[in-house]
Amino acid sequence: MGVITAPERKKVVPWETRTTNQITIGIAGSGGDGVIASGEILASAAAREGLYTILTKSYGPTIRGGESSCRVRMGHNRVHSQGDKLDVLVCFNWDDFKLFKNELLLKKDGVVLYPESDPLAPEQLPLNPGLEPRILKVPFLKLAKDELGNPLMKNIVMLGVLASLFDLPREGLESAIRHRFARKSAQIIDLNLRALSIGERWAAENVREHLPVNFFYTTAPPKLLMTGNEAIALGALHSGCRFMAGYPITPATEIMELMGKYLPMFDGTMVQAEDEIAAISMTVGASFAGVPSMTASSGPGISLMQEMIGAASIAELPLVIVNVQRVGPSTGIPTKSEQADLLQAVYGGHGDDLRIVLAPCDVEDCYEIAHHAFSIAEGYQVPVIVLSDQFIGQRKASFLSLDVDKIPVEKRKTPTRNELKDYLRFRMTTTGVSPVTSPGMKGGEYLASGIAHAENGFPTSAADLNDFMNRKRYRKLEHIRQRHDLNYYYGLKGAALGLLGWGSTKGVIREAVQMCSRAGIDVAGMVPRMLNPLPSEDLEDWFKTLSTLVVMEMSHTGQFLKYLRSQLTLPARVAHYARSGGSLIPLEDVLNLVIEHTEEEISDNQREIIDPEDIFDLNRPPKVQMLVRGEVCEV
Amino acid sequence: MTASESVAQSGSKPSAKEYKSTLKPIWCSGCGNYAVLNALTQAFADLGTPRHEIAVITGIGCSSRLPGYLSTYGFNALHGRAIPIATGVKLANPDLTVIAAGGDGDGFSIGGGHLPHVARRNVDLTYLVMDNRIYGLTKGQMSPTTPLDSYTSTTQYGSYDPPVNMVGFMLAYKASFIARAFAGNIKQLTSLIVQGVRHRGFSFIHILSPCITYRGKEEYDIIRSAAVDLPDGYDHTDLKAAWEISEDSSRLHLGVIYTNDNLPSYDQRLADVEKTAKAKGVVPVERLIDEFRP
Repeated sequence: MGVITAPERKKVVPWETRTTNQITIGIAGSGGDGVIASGEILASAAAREGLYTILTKSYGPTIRGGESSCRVRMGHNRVHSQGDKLDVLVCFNWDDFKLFKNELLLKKDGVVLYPESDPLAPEQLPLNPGLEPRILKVPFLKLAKDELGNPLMKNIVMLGVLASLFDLPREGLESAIRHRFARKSAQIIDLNLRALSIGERWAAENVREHLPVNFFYTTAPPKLLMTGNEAIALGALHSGCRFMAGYPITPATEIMELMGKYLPMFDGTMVQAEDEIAAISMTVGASFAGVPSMTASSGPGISLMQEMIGAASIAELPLVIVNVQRVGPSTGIPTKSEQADLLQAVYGGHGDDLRIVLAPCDVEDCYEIAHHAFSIAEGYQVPVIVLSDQFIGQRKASFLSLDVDKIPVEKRKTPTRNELKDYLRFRMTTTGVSPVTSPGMKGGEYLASGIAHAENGFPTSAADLNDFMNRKRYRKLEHIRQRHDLNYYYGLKGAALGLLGWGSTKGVIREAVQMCSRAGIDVAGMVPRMLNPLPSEDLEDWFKTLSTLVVMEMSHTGQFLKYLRSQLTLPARVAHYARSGGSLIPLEDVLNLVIEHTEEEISDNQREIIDPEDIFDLNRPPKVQMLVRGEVCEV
Repeated sequence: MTASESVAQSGSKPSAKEYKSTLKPIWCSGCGNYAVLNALTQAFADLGTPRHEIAVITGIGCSSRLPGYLSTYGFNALHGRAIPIATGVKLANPDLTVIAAGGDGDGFSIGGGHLPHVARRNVDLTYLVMDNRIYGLTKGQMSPTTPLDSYTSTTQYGSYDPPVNMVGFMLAYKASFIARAFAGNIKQLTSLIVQGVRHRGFSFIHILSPCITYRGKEEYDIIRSAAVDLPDGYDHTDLKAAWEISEDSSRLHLGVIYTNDNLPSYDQRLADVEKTAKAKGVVPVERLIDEFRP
């Protein structure tokens, strides 16, 4: 045996086809087709050759097997969203495809690959109307069977075909395959590498025409590749979290899985609790005992935790609660994203309980936000809810690095020897933060409680004392509100049109602002990462520069806008884009909002630049001169 | 002077009084919980445990007010959640003496779901259930141990929910230390708490703690007439004998009903997990991200 090297394929001549420095590939099929595995290998290959990539996966309801799909977007420049439409669709089974039809829309000039043995003729494929796709039938299974004697290799053969047709990162693919099967025998690795070459050879010998898409990139040093859930776990560990209790729930489970692996290495503990109530109770107990602690769940579990969040709030115990949001209410759609737990996060408790709400907006941000969460929780002795969502939590993304020393994490303030004399656990202070002891600390014995209590911790039912303590706790909120470093701004300062969103909607907002800037359309974007307390001053300062504000969110009832209206003075003209989760907000929708709401005249040339069909096609010479005006905050 | 200082300086054991706070209990005169408070503080004194190394965790109910009356660390938290909170405390700092306490409603109604799990994990904490067979704090509703046909404010025609057998439940859950005590016998109760704390693993102590306000003054006499110490020579490592004791509805057997000293406690298991996790060497926490660089 030995690795068969593919003959040099005749390169596609640039400019005759659409040369692009980013490509989006969708794959659909049944269990056993190896759809998810091939997506993982593609994303890994991209990261290995230093490309930016985003991998999203989508499953049918079946636990194992059943329909599955994934999409991999990769590019030389940073990619911030999933990519609207596919450049390439690989479909192993069209019945399976139908389930994901709306998630796997093809570009007008996209390329479709499907099995040669499929009974459907190219013109019978259930694709959206109005397309002019290039369709190729490929004998994936036959090649795997005849040349490798193993039908399971068809997905790797497919990767070989893709690699050849679209100049995908070849070395990355090989190294990704070696890595993926590192624990398997040398024969298995060899078999997979041969499958890759066989696919490449088939493409070189059988596809002589120019395809409409020509992917172009330059290799860079390898990038980190992880999911948002993994990034949260890593960030928590690095911020000093040493206890976690959780209960399995889609799409948050990976956090406890990773913490369960790592915490014991660092003298910490992860417990799989009997339910979410037990999980948060154990977390509160561990925090009471002095250890930075967290739990993670999704909507249904977070609902069960509300009472204990209130207890932590009145007992002034640091606590981090991660909510990887999914579509609700109730069971909803466990595997898909939504942003409809915002009001629960802020207001979900009974009584005037105090909780801080932070929202990461992409995978690497999860790492940073975990630090801020522990810093605020420990520094201010408050529960902090981290509102992630499925799109952030479970997608894989590559990025350059995580700055592990960038973010200072405040520690819990403990009493000095002097303060321990006549120690008052809940002493009123200017910031509302009182030095706290924990069991084991001599002379600091105190009573923590969910019952209203005085500065010394003793229970009270006196209205004035209770009010005094409410005011003490809410002093913290006003201090935390002074954090001005948690907002992201995009685009041009002084633009009349502003796009505002939070969490994972950042991706399309940022890309839309970027494209509009290139086209000379003045648009600004803002994404606050602290949602309670809202950075009111920062938001209102920004609103004053706008004549039209567009608020975007994945919530049917528009929770974000309701919340903003309740707290802030908004610009006179507000447009609202609100819809249920379940599918991600397409970039096209954001661009259409810009076209609809901008007061500028948009020329045909500008429209062409902001055509979502070829986003970031930076190698194609712009048809109009770039018209970037004003000061660019961050693009 | 704190308890530990007095131990250090005089070499004598601290007094029970040092473990009490200055707060006056809200309990009614004649409540069995006073005896439990006295027995618990005496047990702490007998054990000589410094106050700052003790954490007493409770839920909600009359008996759950307990930590307020102690000078140790305490957490009077949420209804039914004493056990998981105590679990978190113990795992975060296994050196602590952790007591979970509460009533029959707190433990066997709202918090009942946690019991099989704390028992199977064998978390090293001592759980005192002060069973008064009624909801006292909310003024006299049926509890999970209220006898059938009892008239309470929520069972105007007599209660129709059969009561739970706490000891039977805990035996079924394989708790590694099970005892029953009576607030009318402080000396025995103290001794059982000491044994429970010394037991390395989960200790369950069922304490018959009468509520004379909502169950009547005769509650003490009813318990006294049924209470009987376990016979001499009773083997509390014999599971079958323990089952027979738990099923004996005619009498209330007091003493250590069952123990199993052969189970590792949860913190011991977790220490083993740590060893395994560290066996192949550990990278500094800031280098963990390198595992995600392909």
